Amino acid sequence: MADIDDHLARMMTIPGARRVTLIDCASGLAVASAGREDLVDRHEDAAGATDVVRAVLASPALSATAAGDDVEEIIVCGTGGYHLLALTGADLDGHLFVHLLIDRENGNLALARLRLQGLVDAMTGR
Amino acid sequence: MADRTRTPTDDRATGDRVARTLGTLERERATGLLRVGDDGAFHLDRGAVTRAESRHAPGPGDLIGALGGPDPELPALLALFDAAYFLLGSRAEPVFTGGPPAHGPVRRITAATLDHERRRRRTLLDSAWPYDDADTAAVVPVRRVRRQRVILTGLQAEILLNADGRRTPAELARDLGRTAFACLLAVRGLAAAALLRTRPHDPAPASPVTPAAPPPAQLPPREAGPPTEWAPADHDLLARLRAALAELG
Repeated sequence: MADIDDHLARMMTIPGARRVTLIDCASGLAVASAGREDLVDRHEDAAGATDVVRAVLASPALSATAAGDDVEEIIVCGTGGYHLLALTGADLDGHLFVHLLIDRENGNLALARLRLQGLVDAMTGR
Repeated sequence: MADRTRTPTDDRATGDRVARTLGTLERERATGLLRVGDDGAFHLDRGAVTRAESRHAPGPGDLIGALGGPDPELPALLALFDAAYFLLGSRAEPVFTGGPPAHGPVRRITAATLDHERRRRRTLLDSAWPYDDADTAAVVPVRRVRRQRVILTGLQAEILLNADGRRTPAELARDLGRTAFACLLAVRGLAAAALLRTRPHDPAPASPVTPAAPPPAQLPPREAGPPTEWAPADHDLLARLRAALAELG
């Protein structure tokens, strides 16, 4: 997992990044992660985040067009931090998504989105 | 074991047997191959699982087409968890033989992680549709959809578009380059949405309903109007008609 781990390490350099996990969308499996060592929590979090992605993808109300546009990113803003769920898109058949947690104090949502999108593209070879 | 009469308790015990054996081998820090009957095998290295293969799940090579990312470890890891799901649920006898560790890049997964993941995945499947016979039956889409609109995931659409009425979810997974678990979950969702023919749980089984009215072979094809079925003959009426004709004659 050397390559993937390198990509996740780079995502951790985004200002305010607290942890990042790469998740298999089909199963909810945490494939790789950086920033925190607690394995059980990592798997529980991955499963929970996958439920959110599934719910959004299944909801026509959250599509911008009648034909159903592709979801690129889901953002959840809490008082303590931001969760960015970035889908890796059609290249990987929608198999994977990145869950990045950004600290609200030290992070900047707009900057994090921009940096994360670039790093996800680099990881998937786009 | 094989000649014993099976009860549900037996099944549960044998279903956990592979997991228990894996746990024992982990504590012994064993290195070698744990075969699970004809279903497949786990490769162990000092107690940790480094590879798993199941005849029900596609191998890493089958997943590369769809997962052609930068890191070949990714399909390998997904294939390991995919195979482990089926191996841990197998009722075959696990047999361990010591040997050299498998070659190639080393990922080390604990027995507890695999077992936890298997339970979680089974819960996901059962919450989508609680009947597991959909996992092994041929995928047969229904002919008629009794709803105005239907929402599918990309994978569910792929399965409906590629189902030929013969292939099982596992076979479709291999063809589509998807994990078997992803296909099982998609198929159970399709079954719950009544988009697949499912045998025993359907209140009105498919076979007696689907054949349309029998072809009107005995009727002249172009004759418009005649009912497809004649009412049964009224013998009383025929007798009176015959008597009236005889009187005329």
